[in-house]
Amino acid sequence: MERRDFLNLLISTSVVFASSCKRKSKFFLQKVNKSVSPNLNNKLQFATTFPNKFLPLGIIVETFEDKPFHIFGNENHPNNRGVLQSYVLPSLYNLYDPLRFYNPQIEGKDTNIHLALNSLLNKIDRSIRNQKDIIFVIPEILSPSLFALITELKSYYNNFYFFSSSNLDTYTNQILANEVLFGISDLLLPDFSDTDIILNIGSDFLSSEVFTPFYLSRIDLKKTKIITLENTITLTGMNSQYRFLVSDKEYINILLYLLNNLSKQSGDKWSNSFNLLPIKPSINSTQIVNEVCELLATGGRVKIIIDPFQAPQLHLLGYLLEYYFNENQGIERWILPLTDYRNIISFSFEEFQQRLYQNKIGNLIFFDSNPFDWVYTEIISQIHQVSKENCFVFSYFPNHFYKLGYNWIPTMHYLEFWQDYLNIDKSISIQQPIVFPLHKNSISLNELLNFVLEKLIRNSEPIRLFDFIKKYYSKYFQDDENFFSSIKSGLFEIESRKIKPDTIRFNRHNLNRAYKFILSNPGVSTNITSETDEIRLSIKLSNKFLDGSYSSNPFLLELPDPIFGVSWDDFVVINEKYAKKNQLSDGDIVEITNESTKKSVRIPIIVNNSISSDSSLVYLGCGSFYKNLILQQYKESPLQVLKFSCKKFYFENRFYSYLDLDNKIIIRKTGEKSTISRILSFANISSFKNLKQILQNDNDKVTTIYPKRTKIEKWQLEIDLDNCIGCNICLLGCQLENNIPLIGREGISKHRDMYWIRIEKFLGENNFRQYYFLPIMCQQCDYAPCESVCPVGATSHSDDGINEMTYNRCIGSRFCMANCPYKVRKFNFDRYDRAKINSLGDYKNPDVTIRSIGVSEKCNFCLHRIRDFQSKEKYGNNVKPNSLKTACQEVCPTNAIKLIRVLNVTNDTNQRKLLANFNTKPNVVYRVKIND
Amino acid sequence: MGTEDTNRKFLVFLVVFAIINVYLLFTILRSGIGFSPRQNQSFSHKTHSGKISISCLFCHNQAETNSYANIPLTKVCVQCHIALKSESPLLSNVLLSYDSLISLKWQKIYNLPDYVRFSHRAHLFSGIDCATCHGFIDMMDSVYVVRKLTMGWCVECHKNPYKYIIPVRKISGIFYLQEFFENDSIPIKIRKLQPTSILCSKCHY
Repeated sequence: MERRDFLNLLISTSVVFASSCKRKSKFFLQKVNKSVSPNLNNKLQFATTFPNKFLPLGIIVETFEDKPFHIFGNENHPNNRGVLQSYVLPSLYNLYDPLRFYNPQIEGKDTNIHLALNSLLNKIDRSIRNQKDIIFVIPEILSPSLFALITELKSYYNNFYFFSSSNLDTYTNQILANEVLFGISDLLLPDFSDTDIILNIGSDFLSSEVFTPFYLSRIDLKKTKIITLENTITLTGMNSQYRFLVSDKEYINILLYLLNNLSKQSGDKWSNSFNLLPIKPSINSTQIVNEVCELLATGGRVKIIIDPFQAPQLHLLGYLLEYYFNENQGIERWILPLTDYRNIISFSFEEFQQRLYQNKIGNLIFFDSNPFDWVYTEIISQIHQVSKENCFVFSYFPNHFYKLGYNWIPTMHYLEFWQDYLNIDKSISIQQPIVFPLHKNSISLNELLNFVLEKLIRNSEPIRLFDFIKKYYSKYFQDDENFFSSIKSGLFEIESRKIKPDTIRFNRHNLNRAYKFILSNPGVSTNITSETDEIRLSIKLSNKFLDGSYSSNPFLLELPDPIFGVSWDDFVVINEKYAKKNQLSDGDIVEITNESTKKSVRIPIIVNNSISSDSSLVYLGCGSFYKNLILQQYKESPLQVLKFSCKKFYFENRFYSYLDLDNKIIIRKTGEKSTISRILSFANISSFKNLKQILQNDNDKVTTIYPKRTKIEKWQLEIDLDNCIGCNICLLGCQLENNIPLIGREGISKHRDMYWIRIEKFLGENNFRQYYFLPIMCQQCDYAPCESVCPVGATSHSDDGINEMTYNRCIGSRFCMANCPYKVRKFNFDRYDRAKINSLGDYKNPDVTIRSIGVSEKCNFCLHRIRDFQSKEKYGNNVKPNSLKTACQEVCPTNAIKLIRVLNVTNDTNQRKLLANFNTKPNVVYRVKIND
Repeated sequence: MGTEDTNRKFLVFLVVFAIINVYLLFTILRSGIGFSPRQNQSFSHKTHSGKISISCLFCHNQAETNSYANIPLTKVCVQCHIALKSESPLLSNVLLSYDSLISLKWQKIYNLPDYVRFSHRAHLFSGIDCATCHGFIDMMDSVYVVRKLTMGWCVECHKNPYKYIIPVRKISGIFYLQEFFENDSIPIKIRKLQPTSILCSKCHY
């Protein structure tokens, strides 16, 4: 009998018996029906745009057989120059997500899109006849064609109101400051491209802000010194040269004191205006100010960035300081124009609140925005008073409204419709659809407004979205050919593009006005008692979910938090001293109560010593509805205890209001304990001494029993530790490229994480760098200890120095894992397409094998890309040598990782290798400046 | 007692019968020779390739630049058929697909498992004719599988290429690449095919 026939017999027997057994369904969610038709074996690339709130990001989507499978940054895009945030990469999964909402419901009954829209139209029509308000709440978009539509709608009926406030109006306070000082309500973004010193007040601009890709694409981390003052621990603080831990209450006093000090030194006109207030910061902060003063005095261009959640007077102080340092030349900023749109779209939470309280609401329409994520508890009770028939929710996923039975209409994924966005240099980003809408009953915002406009006002049939966009931009193009070639590049250049940021100047009058504004503000307190028992909850945008709008993605939920290493779980971080005093430790569940609202929530804690004693930290995106759906357990969001209030004050004949985040909380121990699913390498921090010990120069004179590698040409990965900011995006890029399965919360808490890269943290030296991040992947050793112990020869060495794995041969003995000194091999506990998170089979990289259960797997420098490159090079295709990138290199925002082809082995003192004294001859080279 | 016995006998018979049936089914399905699914769009390789002598690489052009040999886009069909026989009812689907931007649904005939890397480009450039693996498609009306694409077959050919390799024919279109071979100093026709590497990690990684 042949082997093949025997196998057939075996399979058929087992099939018959297996079919007679009862099997518990592993998948609790239904599968998406695939309506994408296969364009067989064709790989194509499309330039399109990721709608990242006010900063659209240029991306390139690669498709195989009409299915998008790979996203990478568009290097020609002015906003991000190829830099992406971690939430962009797995956004493709959302396209195939079975949890996606695909059937419209009107008053609890399933219908189709036409009936649903008609009923919406009737409701709007009735509201117009009764002279009532129609309120649209839409996501944060800067889209010229959309604004044109809205203007037209508003000109027809005055009581159409549009609010753009998807989750938190993060930038309200900065805009207010800009209004006072410059008289514009635009957003201003600093350009760090030729900056010597950045003074950072509490912001996390290197990892978790909307504009992070913009900042990262322009900053040179090796040349720029960062001085950070913060009350919690952020990646930016960890990557700065100097970091001062202060209470966020003291920010303003420190800045005022700093300004006073500096103006005293300069002795001219500054001293007259800025000595008005007797400021007494605590002793601790006086020292800090002195140190900061010394650092800033070293010279060079200084730029100041401030946490967007902070009060407007702090932003103003920042501008004044920067103005001082730039020798009164004005400040340099890119302008994101919001002023023109403020008349038609309101960006303010307060106005929305006022509208709701007026009780004139005809219709309330939420488009892709979930007020339950906004944390404004007062608003939610007000929304509940609007009758359910008049409330329409357009949403991509079921959200908190779902249980309340509102009218539901599904929306589209961003790869399914046309949209245009305004860029920072005044060009237009084009978002083009890559797939046909997977669910016929979904709709996009432009389409909806077009529908309302055409049906209600013009009484005609709505036009297709593409025709609408084409019509809108046709005046800028001579012919169709021009238009289509512009779409291919993903960019429309309709005006002359800006190359440099604007320099904004202001006069003495404005300066004095700003200073008066700062002092008139109730936020400034003249004395601070340093040691109090009170503890406040501060919120930060999350590195993975931003403001929570991307928390509906299992890849991001599993990705470990870059600082605490937590995946899947929600947590609150508190100070070590406070924890000791109250006998709290990691994983204790505490009850957190807000002092003013008396709302409370139970949540596990993480204890950390680099957070100020009066603060506790929670990330936005905690307690997402989506995660609860996957884990099938409902947990309350810790954000519910937060209270946002608008502080109002009177200044120069006008009321100003700003967002205030003073959340005093009471922490009570419950006595319960929970396990937090953490990935261990991220949680532990080693000392700087350890880093010096394990990174050594290579020793050439080694006697070895391994065969000598004759071919000198080989591949090496060069990692620049001075550039690595530890943002974890390489883990995600690697996971998506290599089809690494998700293993769920349970798997992570059993330490079965499958990431091929891990990042170890090391404490640095104070005036050099706060922390070092050491990414460790398979080192592709020349003398690999794993190869010699494999009983079946599944792992072997290639001619060009790569340690290859033949997954089909592997029997899972795990000897290689035991013998690897770097512990970089991972055991496969779950097949990718059968993993706990289902429907992954629809979304995979076709170039990479899906490994079966029970094999040992590891990084192979993206061998499929290397082989493809080699073969292209060999057979005469024109390939650029720079075009070969590993997946981690492609996504790295700071260019810390580089794949190089080594022809001659050179000895460089900056070149260090991991555990070189083991004589394994690793091929991953670390570059770092350490003085031994 | 008697009824239980017959019941058991019947059950055993049923199980054996089922096993045999599924075995036969699997043997047919897994061997794959002669597999020729019905396509939504009728297309004759015999006409296009045999009669009109359009070379393989004219439509499957990515085979020489990529590891995948593509199924051509609708655009490729329409390039000629916009003028040629555009009124034929057989072409209505193609023109509809071209207008509506929805690609035609083709059934894949030769399927390699997910864990195997096979580069069309590398094999073409080594001077291996399409027919070596795919048979003489220019003589088939509807394409069917002529070879079991098993590892044994691959390894055999890598060990003794002479036994299996068909000399390059003009119809394949590989002569377009002749320039490359001329630079290589050994003309393609007399180029000796050496047994090549059969390391596992060549194809499985």
